[in-house]
Amino acid sequence: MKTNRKEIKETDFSKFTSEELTDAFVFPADQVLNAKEKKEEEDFWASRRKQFENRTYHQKMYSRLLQLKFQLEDYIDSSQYLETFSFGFFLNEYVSRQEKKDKDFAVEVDVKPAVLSQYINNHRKPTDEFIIRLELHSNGLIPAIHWFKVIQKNKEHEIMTNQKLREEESKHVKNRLGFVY
Amino acid sequence: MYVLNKIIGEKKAATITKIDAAEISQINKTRRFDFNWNKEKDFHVYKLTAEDKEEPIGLLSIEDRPQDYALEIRLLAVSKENVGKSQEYSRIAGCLIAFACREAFKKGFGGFVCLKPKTKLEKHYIQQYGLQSTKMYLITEGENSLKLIQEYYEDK
Repeated sequence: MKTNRKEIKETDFSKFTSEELTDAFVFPADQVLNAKEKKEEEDFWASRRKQFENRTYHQKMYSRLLQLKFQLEDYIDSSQYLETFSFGFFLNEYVSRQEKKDKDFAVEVDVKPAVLSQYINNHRKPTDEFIIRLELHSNGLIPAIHWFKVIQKNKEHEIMTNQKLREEESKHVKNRLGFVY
Repeated sequence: MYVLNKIIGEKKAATITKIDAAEISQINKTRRFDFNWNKEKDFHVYKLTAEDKEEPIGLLSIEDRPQDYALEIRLLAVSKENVGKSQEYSRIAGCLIAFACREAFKKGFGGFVCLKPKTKLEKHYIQQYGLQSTKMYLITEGENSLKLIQEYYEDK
């Protein structure tokens, strides 16, 4: 079989069972395809594209929400703070990825549309009850703890960078400790 | 996400990070992995490291195929000391495949990941990872990809 890759073959793969190889490798698929195989490959990708484009409304929505869940997880697990990625941003994504109007979603989680709008625009701190409702609404797909961690991440940034509050609180602090070596 | 240290029977937290061309060259030079990883520099290459261990114990190369809404696993290898019965760590390949599935969800591909198997290994990938067979590729998507993520990526 012709190949277009020079392998550094140091391991004697024949010494291992198929299970052991499956547990250790995905081998490079580097054989040069003949015309029949090329056609099969093209057909495979054409079929994949068609299948993707013909997904149902629910499949598309589920896929969009899973995408959001994993993006949210990556953000809360990272040490980076991004102003854009606020609670309101993720909440807005959660609603819009379901192609719902804000006022309809507000009914579904039993808050006033004005309150939902304040959450989305980061003008109101979400209550524990509200983030529990979000978890229940997503049927556990996005747990309340994820929402809480987004809020907490924002709070951590705020507490670390709020100079104005430090200046204001300064007048309430006396007899500050001084350390000298 | 964890790998299992089979010698001491302990779970070790695992981390997967993307590596650049310079690091690929560096790892390739060590010859701790089979195959020529320098050939993968045009693709997305990731390393898996275990807690308390600086050197990677797994490598993964993925091709992003946005036009086909898919990720293709081009190459995956565990470090040589982890191949076969005498392996120190298990679950490395599973973690890397689950990682690819998660990336495929993040990209909006519905968790669609495929690979071209060696014929004799096909049925073992199907048994071990629940992959589905098509003529040329093995694929995972949707529920099976979520299952792999839960089993290998989210399980702590």
